[in-house]
Amino acid sequence: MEARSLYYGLGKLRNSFICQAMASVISIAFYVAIGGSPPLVQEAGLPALSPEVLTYFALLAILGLGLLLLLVISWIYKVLGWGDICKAGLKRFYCYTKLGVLFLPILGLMFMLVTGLIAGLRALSSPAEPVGLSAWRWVSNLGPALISSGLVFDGVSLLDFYHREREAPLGIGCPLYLAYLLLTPLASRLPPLASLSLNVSELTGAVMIVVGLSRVRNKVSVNVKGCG
Amino acid sequence: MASDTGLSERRLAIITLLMISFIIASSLVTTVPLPKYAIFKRPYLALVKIEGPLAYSSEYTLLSTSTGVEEYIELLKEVKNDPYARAVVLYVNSPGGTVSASEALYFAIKELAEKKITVAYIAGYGTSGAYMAVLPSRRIIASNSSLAGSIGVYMVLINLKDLLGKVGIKAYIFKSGRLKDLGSPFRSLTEEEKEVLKGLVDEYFRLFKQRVLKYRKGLTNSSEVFQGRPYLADEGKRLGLIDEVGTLHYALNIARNLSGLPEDCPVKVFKPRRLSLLELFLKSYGGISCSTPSGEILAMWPLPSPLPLRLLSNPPT
Repeated sequence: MEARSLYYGLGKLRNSFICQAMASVISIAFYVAIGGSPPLVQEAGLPALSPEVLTYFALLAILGLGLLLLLVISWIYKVLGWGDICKAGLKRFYCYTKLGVLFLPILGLMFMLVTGLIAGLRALSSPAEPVGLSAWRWVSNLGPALISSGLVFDGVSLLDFYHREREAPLGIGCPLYLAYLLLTPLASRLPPLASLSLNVSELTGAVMIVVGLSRVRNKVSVNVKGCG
Repeated sequence: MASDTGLSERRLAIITLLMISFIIASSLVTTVPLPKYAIFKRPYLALVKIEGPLAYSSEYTLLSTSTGVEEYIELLKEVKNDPYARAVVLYVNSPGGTVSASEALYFAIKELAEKKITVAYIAGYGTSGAYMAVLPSRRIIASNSSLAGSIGVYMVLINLKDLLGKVGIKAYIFKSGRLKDLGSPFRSLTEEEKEVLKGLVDEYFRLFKQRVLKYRKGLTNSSEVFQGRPYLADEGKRLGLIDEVGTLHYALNIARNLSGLPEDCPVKVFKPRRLSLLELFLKSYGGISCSTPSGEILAMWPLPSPLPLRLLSNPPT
């Protein structure tokens, strides 16, 4: 029962990281498509909304929706995966990971929605004040930080799996994934190329974790079969 | 399956807590404002867009929005205080507006022009108050089909006395002095009041003229441009209202050359923040305002489009 839960859990986690790798590919495509920085620098007299420009924006919108969908699927797989691993009863920390992965992103999202709403209402009361520079900014930054914090549980638990199994891909993938999570809040302060390298780090980390989890899962599958 | 038990629960908890603390701390650190324009590490050319009638404050209706000069003044301050903005091109398409708004913009541009190379580019309208505002620019360039000039001020007073009499409405005014209700729409103007109002218009015009003569050296006190008519770019150039006729690209190049910026320097566009549809809706719930020019001295050409109230009034004398 323990090995079976672990086997299923690892499979779900692997699926989660496959989705995450796909999402980071889309993020990189997004980055390349918009040139890496917000359109602050522009030549004067740019053409108005031509059909080409509209197609371009439509494509970006579709990519954005795809990205969002993949991230949600990845999160669901993470919650289910850590739930199964928790059931396997290997360590209490994996159960905390399940709770962290489940609740912190939800809390973060709610926080973002509430602070976004308040900031929007404040902007309405004084339209000249640029949104984001107000006192609310530090509060609104906590939302994304909570989401990242939830995923830190995921990364640390996977790092623990590396220490258990000594699978080299996990040993490479986990630090990259954790580095991505730790540096993401600073992304707005990093030069555009560094932000791109964060996405590349996430992609590489996710791919290595997928490979590492597959190997660990194969080991577990032997035990599952052995148990009958 | 395990070759080892991995890290201890305690160690895992400590690592996780440390990492979460780092994430929260760094997300708070990013809220500390960096000096603005840190992303523009190299000098750039600022293009400030000034469009529409000049009023002091912004006005929002579902049918139209007008940007107050306060917002333009903020943009000009931003550009003035940014060390990376080496030169400024003012993209102007405005018929002018109220005297106070035009004057406020004039002083803001004057301050900017004292600190940075400033070139004005008239696209469409650069008349009346808008023309006065851009006078301190180092060069004034206008597009071929644009209109410049219309130097002058005017005042429109609407008299509702006869109309109110027809519908049986009487207005009683209690005043502390005989000129306190100067320009009241409920009664006819006295000769003394006409003189006072004409004096105000003349005084504003004198200031306007003084500024034109200060900055446009080719003009004299008796130049025909002071009759108040607008001129097409070529004629405006011949009379000395503008320096050159050209495109926006040309104006940008002139600003680049004057400031010694390279050909490939970036252009950053500054324009007032646009309201979202929701903001626009919420801001305009008060209804469509009637921006009648009654009682306000305008430096504007062409005249504001007829409003319902003006259609009902006697033509200005």
